[in-house]
Amino acid sequence: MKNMRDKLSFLFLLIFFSHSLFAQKTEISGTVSDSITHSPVEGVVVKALLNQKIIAFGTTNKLGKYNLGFENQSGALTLNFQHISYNSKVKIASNRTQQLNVSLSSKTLMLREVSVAAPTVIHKTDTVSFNVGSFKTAGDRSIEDVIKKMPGVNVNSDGKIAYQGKDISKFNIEGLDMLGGKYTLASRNIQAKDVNRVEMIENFQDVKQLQGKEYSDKVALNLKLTKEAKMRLLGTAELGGGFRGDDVLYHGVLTGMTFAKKVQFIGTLKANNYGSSLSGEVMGFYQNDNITNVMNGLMNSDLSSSPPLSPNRFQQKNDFMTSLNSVIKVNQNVIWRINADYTRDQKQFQSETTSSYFVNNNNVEIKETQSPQYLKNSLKATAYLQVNSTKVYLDDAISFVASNEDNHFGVITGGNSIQQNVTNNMKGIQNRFTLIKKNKKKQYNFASQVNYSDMPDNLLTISGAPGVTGKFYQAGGGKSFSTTNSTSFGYDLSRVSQLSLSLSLNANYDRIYTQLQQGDSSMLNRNQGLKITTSISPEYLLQSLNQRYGFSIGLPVNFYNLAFLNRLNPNADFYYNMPFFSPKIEGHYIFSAFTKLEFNSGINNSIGDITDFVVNPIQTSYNQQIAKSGILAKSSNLSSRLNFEFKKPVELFFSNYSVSYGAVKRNILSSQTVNTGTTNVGVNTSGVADENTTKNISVLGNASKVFSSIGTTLSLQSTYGISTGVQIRQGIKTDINSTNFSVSPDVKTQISKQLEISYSMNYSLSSQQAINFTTTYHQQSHNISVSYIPVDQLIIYGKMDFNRREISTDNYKNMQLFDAGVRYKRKKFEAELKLNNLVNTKEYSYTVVNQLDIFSYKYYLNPREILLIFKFNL
Amino acid sequence: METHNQINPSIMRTKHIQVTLSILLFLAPMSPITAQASFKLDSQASILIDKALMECIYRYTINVPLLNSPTNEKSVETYTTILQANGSTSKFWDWNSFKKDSIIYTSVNLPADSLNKLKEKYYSIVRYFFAPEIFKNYPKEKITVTDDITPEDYIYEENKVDRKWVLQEGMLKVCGYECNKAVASFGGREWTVWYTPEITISDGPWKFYGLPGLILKASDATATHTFEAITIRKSDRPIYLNKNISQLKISKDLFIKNKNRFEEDPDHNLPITNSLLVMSIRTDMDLVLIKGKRTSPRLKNKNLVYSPLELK
Repeated sequence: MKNMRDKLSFLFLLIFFSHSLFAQKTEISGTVSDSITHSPVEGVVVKALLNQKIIAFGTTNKLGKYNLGFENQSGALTLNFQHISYNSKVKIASNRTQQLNVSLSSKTLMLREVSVAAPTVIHKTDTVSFNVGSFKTAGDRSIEDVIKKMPGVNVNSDGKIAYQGKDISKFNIEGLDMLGGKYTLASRNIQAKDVNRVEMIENFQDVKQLQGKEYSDKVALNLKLTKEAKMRLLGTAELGGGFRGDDVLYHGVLTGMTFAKKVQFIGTLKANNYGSSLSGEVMGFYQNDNITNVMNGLMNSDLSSSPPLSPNRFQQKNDFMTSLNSVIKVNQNVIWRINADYTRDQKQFQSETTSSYFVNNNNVEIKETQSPQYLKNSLKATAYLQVNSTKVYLDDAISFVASNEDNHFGVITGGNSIQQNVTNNMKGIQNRFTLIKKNKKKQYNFASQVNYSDMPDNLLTISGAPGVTGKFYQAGGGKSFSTTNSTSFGYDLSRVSQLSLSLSLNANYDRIYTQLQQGDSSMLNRNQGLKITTSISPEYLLQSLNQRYGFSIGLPVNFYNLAFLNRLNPNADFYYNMPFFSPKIEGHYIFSAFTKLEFNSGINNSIGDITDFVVNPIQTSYNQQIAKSGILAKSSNLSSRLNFEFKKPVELFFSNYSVSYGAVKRNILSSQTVNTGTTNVGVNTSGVADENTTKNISVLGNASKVFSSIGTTLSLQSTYGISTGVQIRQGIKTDINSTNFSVSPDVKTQISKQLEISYSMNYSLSSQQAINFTTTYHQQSHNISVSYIPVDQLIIYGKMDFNRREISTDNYKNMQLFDAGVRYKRKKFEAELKLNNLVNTKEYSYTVVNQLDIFSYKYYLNPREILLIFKFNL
Repeated sequence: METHNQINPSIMRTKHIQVTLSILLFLAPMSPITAQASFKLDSQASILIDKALMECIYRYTINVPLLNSPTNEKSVETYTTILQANGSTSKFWDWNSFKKDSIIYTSVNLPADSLNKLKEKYYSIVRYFFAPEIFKNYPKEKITVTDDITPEDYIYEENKVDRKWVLQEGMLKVCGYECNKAVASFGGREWTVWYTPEITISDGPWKFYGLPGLILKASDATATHTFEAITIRKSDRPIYLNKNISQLKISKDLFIKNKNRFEEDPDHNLPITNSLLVMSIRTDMDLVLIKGKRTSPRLKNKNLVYSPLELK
């Protein structure tokens, strides 16, 4: 072997030699090694100097080899071998091509340490704050218009703000939270020009004791106002009018605001008969803001259906709203807050419904003409106190709600004119309390919420029903009391794993009273009971350091303690104490930067509530009755999902695909009996003890590609789903299978800075199969919108919706809606002209297949509208 | 199920109700929550590739005229970068990243929550951040570069070819060291560099190497890009390569082409469909971040001209 290598080396040397002779070049090569270990030294700087001048230089490679070449020249040649951790060596060599091996002796590193300037200082970032001043353009009005444009921020049509997919949990103005969850009052009324900066604060920790100590994943928004805005009264006045056919439209708004250092105030007064409901403007977005009553689940105050259409298209309304809000900063640690809202929503519309019920392999049809009228008054007031010092955190919010509803649902069917009136009023009170106290080693967290609500007389009065002489009524009353207390904590087990535990206690006490009175006969329910749910949720998390895989497993357990009393029949009292486990598992695996797989699976075991024991019938409309089984509902919901992500960022292509499977096992099966009298069709719904399973599988695909060269984004979404279930109709168990398919392509293109066009389309198919029964419905919709901005102050826009829906087999209806508008802004004045339903489309129809039955709806649309609104900003 | 003959509506029969856990819930003292699990920050796995003998901190400035500026104003972006070298292998990267990572690597044995606190303390976002990391002679005779085209991470290799330096007459003192002059054309630009024969490491800032001494200053012919040493010191810190799971492998040419196309007009080349939800703005530093990753200031300030360090 060694012989062979020597021969080869000789051959190489020969080649080098002849080559350099031919090129008239001097080549010096060799190996540099460590004088003690004899191992090659890499990175040695080798310089060839001829008469003290560098003529060639190089470094040794991983084998310690170097190779210098230079044109033949005469003179004294020295070779210089240098390395940062070896003593340098100078060799005087003959000026000719040769091989020169050297060995260097190592030394301790000698380096003259110098620092002539300090590096840029690190910015500490306990709170990360983001700002959007530069997103404001001339067309913007409220600060919401600007927030909408902030990347990463999503504002939905209600005005709810989410940042990086997470709902904001605080909306502050100059660091003070005046409005709680109903922040649209600020986001839609404060002018963009009065705001200096909008800050998004990630990892927001409100509790001073925990700042810098406890991680929070909350996001808060803070508005920083301009100096000028803080010193004076702000406000807007809007006045508008127009026509909808022969009807006159009006619109009026008056808003006043001040934001001083210690006191903030927003007051507003609005009235109109156009646009979306005004009660939405004081809607709270925080989950635990709402007070509910047990009767909400038993009797419905809305007997009509709502179409997939903006309410302004078909509703006539008359709304009034006023809201007063103030926050006072008592000192550095204490704030007080008062909020009060009053809303009056009045609306009405006209529609027709054809309901086709499946009875004994036949369809029974009823046609109804409906004219619902709604009226709801509601009042809400909240007082809030917060003490937030470095030693203790305490807050308490007490809210009072009162509302009343007076709704009328006129129905004409089979020549009968039926009047159904729903009236109710509700009073409720809620208290939320939080205490956090931390000392050196321990931390006490306590959160408590108490709700009480009373709905004493919910009344449905029905007159003119076929087969019934005179009036009959369904009355109901409910009282609900609930309290929720919770806490959680976690431990890091290692750098890759974490164990967490959360505990909560929930107690609900409800009282129900119902009475169905028809002449002398009455059917009653009187129930009361307590449901206590104690939850312990341990969870284990494991994630590899490089995040290639992650895994979590949880085993929440709910201990249920129930005591439900039936005051009419003590034999039907029900007591139950049982734990329910709901295991869940989640994980992900990243194959490469292009592909990622995620999965989750779990079984959620849950039980029903006191309403399961409301066994005597409740009339829910003139022809519908519902009665519960008297059996505690239990459901076991198995769900699994697999998601696969594939992307090619360089080509701007993104896609994901998912498959889900669900199986819900229930102990109660819904049973419907359709009574076909000579003049009327009635539907009675009840539940029977019969174990049954509903299964569904769905597949979803999503892909998008950006063509930057033509400013166009193309995306495609498609879903396919099948499900199976069972229902009892006329005492016969019937299997129902349904299939759904939909595909929606979408194109957005920016032709120039002034002109933007988008088009989206949807095609869907839904099919239901039962014995002797198959229905399939097709529908498609197309939306085109164009906006043109010739100058900054002026926006011209137009929209077209086209729908083609199958109303009954092979019977299609086409509907088109055109809208357009112009908006112009100049300094403090603004004007907008809106034109809606330009082609005066009169009807909107669609059909829904609901298990065995088919419902076809027709809504009468509002005629062509023209509206001119002037706005003056203070 | 049990039956009861007598009903007393005012008193619920709570004897069946076991409220065992409620007391515990209210009063149990809780250990401080350390919910910020450590692994949430460790998105990278590190490979130890070598150990440094010395470190050189360079100030890197980009000097470009502002568009639409009546006074011909220039924008100066100043980055702080560091070369960790030992004569054969080296890493050149952002100084703030180096600072942050040093803390993480040297505190492996710390308990997770203390480590988190340390990271939190040093985790920083600076106005200018030098995204590429250049590993010379890793693997042997090659250069590995990690970089990003927002919001994706990329990794590519290139051959460690001869930079074809031409030595020229000239002397300059940089950071207290006497330097000699050399010129070469590289990456579409004409570069003039100053190297010191006193530090016999054939290395330098960014993708520069191959002179008989450490390069302490480099600037291009248009005087747009300049690297200049501000600190030279001994070191025995390890050199790590962060292998990010989401790094996309790419060829050098394709990367440079796409990077420059993106930076030229980040507004239009950003894959909005995917990243809109993970964007955020920091006005205090004029930055747009996507998935926590900074983008070019040009995304915000349309008057800034993009001047690529590497044209081709």
